[in-house]
Amino acid sequence: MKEISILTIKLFVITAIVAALLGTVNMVTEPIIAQNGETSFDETMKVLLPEADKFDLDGTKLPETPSSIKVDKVYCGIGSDGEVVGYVTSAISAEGYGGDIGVMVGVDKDGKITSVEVTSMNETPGLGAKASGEWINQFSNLGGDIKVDINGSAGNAEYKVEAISGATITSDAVTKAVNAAVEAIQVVIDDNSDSPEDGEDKEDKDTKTSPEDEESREEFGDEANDNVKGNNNGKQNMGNNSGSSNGGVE
Amino acid sequence: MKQNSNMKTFLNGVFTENPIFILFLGMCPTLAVTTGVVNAIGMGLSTAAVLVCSNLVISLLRNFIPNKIRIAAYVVIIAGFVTIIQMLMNAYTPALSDSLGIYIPLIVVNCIILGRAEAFASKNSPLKSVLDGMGMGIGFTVALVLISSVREVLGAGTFAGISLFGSGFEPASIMILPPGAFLTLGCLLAVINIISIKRKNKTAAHLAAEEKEGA
Repeated sequence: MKEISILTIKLFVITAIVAALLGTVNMVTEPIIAQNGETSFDETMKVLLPEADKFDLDGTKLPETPSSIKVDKVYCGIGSDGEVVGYVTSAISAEGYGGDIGVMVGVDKDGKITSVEVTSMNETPGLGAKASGEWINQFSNLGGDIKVDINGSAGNAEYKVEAISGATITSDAVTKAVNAAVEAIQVVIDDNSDSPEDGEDKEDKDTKTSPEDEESREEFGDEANDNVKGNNNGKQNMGNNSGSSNGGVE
Repeated sequence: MKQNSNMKTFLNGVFTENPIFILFLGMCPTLAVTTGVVNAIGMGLSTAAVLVCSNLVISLLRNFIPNKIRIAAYVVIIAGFVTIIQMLMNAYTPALSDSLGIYIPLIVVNCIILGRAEAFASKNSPLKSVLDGMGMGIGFTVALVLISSVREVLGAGTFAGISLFGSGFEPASIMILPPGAFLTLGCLLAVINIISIKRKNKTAAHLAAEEKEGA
């Protein structure tokens, strides 16, 4: 009995001390890690839409994506004149050769890609990893529904990129993610162009504002936010503005 | 004399008992991370850091940790250090930790660390254990760099990311993939064994000659 107690106590002491150390280091590094994530996200947004001065979250409900792709919220890039210059969003494909591939896509207001950045991937160096090099530049100035071309397989597709030689899986995954991102942004573009400048005439889908909307409006102190979009994407509790009208307000 | 024995402990990990080429420990990360020299150095040095820290702590606690729970205790300590190093890397060197990806947490189950804890640190003084950790860590890193140099140069035409042959060179992609890892390791092992057999023969011949003269 005594032996078991000693074993237990000693093991407990060791684990307790290790846990305390872990907690301390975590406390110190957690904000830095979060900051790293944000900074790189902000920086990448600027790279994708250099003419934008600032970025606002767009609240349009995004279309369903295939199960292997996740598209994140769309940001509108606002230029110095207050007009929308383009949109940025990020997408993750789970179908990379080595796991998830994350991309960020910048699209101008006409729906054409400005550029794409690969933000995270675990692909094989020398093969799939080439995706983050010059290969990604192929996407610039393309539209949506891009096809991957392997020795002519894409035929007469309107937009195509050449596959990385020896890395078809990577090429496909990245292209799918980019396509999903562009599709989402296209929905936002269509949505915004539906509503006239100040959005007052937008269909009154929902006059009752949900608690989430109240919160988010307070958070961002946006007094001019009169038009609340009925179709609020439940997950987002940030500013719920339509890109164009917000642009005019600041 | 003491200096000599400490140096011996250190060099043991680099040459005589190199963890990869002689002890055959830590094969999984060895084969997986050696696709590029930069990754190899990053991985090797991170493992070395964990090795030194865990060897030190386990040696300090060698009288405190009861025999029956030693494996559990070692794993807790090692996992703790790896997690701390992972958090520090995520915070201060995010690019490196991105490219090492899942291999950092995998250091926890790297047999080298548990192996040295069990075989050495639990039975030797803290100073010796630190030296052993350093030696093993450097031996590991050197081995990784050797293997990844071959794989990267032949498989991607670059060394540490610097293109060596220009765009006309068609690299042997197989070297970058898992089969290439085994091939490279096998060839390097053969070379090392040839060298060490020759040395043994030389020493044996020497000793035989000396005996003859003495007789």
